Amino acid sequence: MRAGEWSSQIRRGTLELCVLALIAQKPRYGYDLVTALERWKPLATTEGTLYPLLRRLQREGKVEGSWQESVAGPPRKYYQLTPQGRDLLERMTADWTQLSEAVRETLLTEEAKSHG
Amino acid sequence: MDDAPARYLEELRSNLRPLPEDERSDAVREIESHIAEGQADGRPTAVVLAGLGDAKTLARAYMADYHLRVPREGTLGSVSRFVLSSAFVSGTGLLSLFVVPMLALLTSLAGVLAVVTPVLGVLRTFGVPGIVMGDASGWQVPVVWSFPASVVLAAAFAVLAWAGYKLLRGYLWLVLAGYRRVLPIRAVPR
Repeated sequence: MRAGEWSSQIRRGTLELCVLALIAQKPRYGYDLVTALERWKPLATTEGTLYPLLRRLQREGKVEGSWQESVAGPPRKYYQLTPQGRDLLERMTADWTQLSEAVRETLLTEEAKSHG
Repeated sequence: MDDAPARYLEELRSNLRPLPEDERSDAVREIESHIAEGQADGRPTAVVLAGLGDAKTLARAYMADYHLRVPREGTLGSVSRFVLSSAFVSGTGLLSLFVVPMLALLTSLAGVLAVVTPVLGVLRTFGVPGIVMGDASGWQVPVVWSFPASVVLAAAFAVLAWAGYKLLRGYLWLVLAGYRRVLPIRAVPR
């Protein structure tokens, strides 16, 4: 597997976690999520991935969408977590924390060996 | 005013056809809102559209897991589904073993005869021996009428061949549709 392919697979998996986490903070609409994710370069996603992901989360009952008029400009579709989505976020957060710690420790051990 | 967004949305809408209408128009409306939001934010339209990617690819991403996520109506339990599928597959398999070769043979034989008969009719008209046109009682078609008679006969064969072909096609279509129903096949490859 090439490194590019590998990192795009990692991103795809973590994007779902980040989107859920961002929606958990406050109700958000698509464009808002795009700009929020853009703030961290490694998370920058293409909109072509984000909107279908939101659609899937809604279909699965993890988020709810509701259209609201905005002060100026087009109506926005705001998303918020359902109880089911909140559960998923909790589980994913726990998994992610464990996984990333394990990976970090593995990398440190390997580094120590090669230097030792 | 630039009509590129309108064209993009139209292409997206037509490529999302497999989705239920409410989901389809909701998705298109959301993308429309995204484009307007980007423009209001001062981004050039071309940049916003490029960010969304090709409309066809976007539509495909929307549908990628659709058939897996939405449970089909009247879903059977996995055991009864398995039994029914097995019965269907073996039943139609057995039937096909007879129906398909018979129809195929009938169709191709009638097709060949439809072509050969007029040729024989012409040959008989010019007195080539050994070509019999008549019925069991010994009655023979007069030699001058050989060609018209052969054309009528050929037409009958052609109708038979056509009917055989239609039947075979209809049968295969039915069986394949049945297979598609009993075996969950993802319509859109990931």
